[in-house]
Amino acid sequence: MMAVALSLIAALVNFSREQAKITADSRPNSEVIDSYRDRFRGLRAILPKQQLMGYVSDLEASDPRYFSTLLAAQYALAPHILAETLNREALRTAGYMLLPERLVETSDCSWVVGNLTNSLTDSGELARRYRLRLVRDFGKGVVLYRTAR
Amino acid sequence: MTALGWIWSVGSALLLGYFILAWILPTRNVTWLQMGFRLSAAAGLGFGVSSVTYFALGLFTNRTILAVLAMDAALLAGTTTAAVAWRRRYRGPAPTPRAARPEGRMIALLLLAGVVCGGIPLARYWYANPYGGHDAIMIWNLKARFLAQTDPSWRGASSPWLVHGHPDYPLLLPASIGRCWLYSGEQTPVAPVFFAGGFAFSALGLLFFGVSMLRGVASGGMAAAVLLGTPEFLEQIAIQYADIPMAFFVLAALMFVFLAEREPGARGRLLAVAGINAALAAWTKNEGLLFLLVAGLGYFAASAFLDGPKNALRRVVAFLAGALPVVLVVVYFKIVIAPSNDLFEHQSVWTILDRGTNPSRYVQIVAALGNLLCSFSTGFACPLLALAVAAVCFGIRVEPEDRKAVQISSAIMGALVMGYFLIYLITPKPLGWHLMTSLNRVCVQAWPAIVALSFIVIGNPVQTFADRGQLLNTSWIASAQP
Repeated sequence: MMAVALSLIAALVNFSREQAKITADSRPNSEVIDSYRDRFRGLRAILPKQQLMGYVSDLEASDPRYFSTLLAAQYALAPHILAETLNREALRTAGYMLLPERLVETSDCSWVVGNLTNSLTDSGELARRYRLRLVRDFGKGVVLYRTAR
Repeated sequence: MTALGWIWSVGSALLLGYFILAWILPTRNVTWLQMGFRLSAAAGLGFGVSSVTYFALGLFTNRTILAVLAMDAALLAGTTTAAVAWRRRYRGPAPTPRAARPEGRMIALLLLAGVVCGGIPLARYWYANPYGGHDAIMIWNLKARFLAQTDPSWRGASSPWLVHGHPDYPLLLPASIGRCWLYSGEQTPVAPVFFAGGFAFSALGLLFFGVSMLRGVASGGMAAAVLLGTPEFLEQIAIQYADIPMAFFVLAALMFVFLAEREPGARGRLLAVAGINAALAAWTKNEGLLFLLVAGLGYFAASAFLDGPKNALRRVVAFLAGALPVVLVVVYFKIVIAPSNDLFEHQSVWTILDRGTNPSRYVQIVAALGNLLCSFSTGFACPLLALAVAAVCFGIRVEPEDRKAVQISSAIMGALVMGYFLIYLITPKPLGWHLMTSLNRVCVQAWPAIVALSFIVIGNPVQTFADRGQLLNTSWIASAQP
């Protein structure tokens, strides 16, 4: 019993240390997810299901925040699927190892979700860059576009 | 609806697991160790089977709450009826529970206090970060958001368009979480947290009660303490990855293999339960497919070597019979819904051979494993050192009735480790990156089973110092003759 007690005490001391370390490392994840769920709530409610959505952002693929903001937007919008519309090579060069199996052109999707991380970015400017038509601005940097055809 | 949905979602899964076990393994009286083992095994089994049926329902119809409720109620009623009817006809000897020795209960209470104390920092972590780690958010919980849908949009969980989505990943954990969300009516992070903690707690219980039944409560207590003191294991619980459920099913399969050797009269049924658990591992992660394969083949090869091919074949048939229902779902998922696999797609035989014959890759994998084993011990808790100290202090002492099971289990675990090694050898991904991001998790999947195996082989402290064999009572099920 002494052996079990000693093993257990060692385990618990370590347990506290480990948990404190992990807690300190990973707090931002939840804040990002919560804020994205809140930002995209209005858009999520009106999007047609089972359609592939394009995704555009004011961040460049080489920006370290690009990938995490895309993932957070995808989480917030599920079960709608965001298709990565940037160049695969650009992402790979930027160091992303786990790319989607398929990438599409923005023009392949009827609907395109815009994620503006900078409050100064003009949603119209993004529309012009990707040749999109602005459908609705939901505020907080969330915009819905249609492909201009 | 939320509270009621929660209670039904969790309660029906637990009861389903319990009655499946009661149906396959009838018994009359059980000791507290046997009951603890049965409850721990039933929890994982119930969640696993519920996730399979929940997923399968979606293949045939929209998963409305009424449809899921009707299916779950029918399943529960069916297994309960079967278990009760089987138990009435059961004429096997009823093992008389012996009074537990006070120190046995003390150790169990000590461990329980340890789990409660350990749960406080874990709860603190989950309070601060309820969504878990990166892969929990972007793979498991993201897929769960798809699987909580009532319409066919759940198939998006395996869409090749998903960024970081791993379309071919099996769906045990997402389907379990999705089912819970559907019943509760809201997608809160409480469900993933519950499953992370639930599977970890069940694995700990399975280890403690299983080793206690086989080798005594002192050995079980030490095994559980070693697992509790493994930093990598704790980290995986906190970040809610699917490696903990996978570890549970690997451990459960192995424990039932041991019990099958202890109970020749119930061997077929115990092996069937081992098969279900191995198949559920395959429904949890792709590595589980490897485990299912090596468990089936390893068991057959080792049994054939020890008992002859005829006996081995009979046992493997029992193992596969248990695994079959779940395997059918996994095969359908792999062939129809998620046919691609990022490790094997676009790989030719020549590129595989080229990687497999590159000596530098062998060196890199061995070096990474060495580094990981060194980092397995941090701070006060050194699980590998604890195993070594226990082996030195209490010696190696395999019970004669466990000898075959030890050989078979060692063969299975050895084959599993070899399988992991081969996967790393031929991976098309950059090897350094692949090792860095997955080797620790792969080790965690096998770790509880390795700890169990170790403490079954290491001598019982009580027996070592004084021969008090009365603690052992493993005849928890006897041959069930209707």
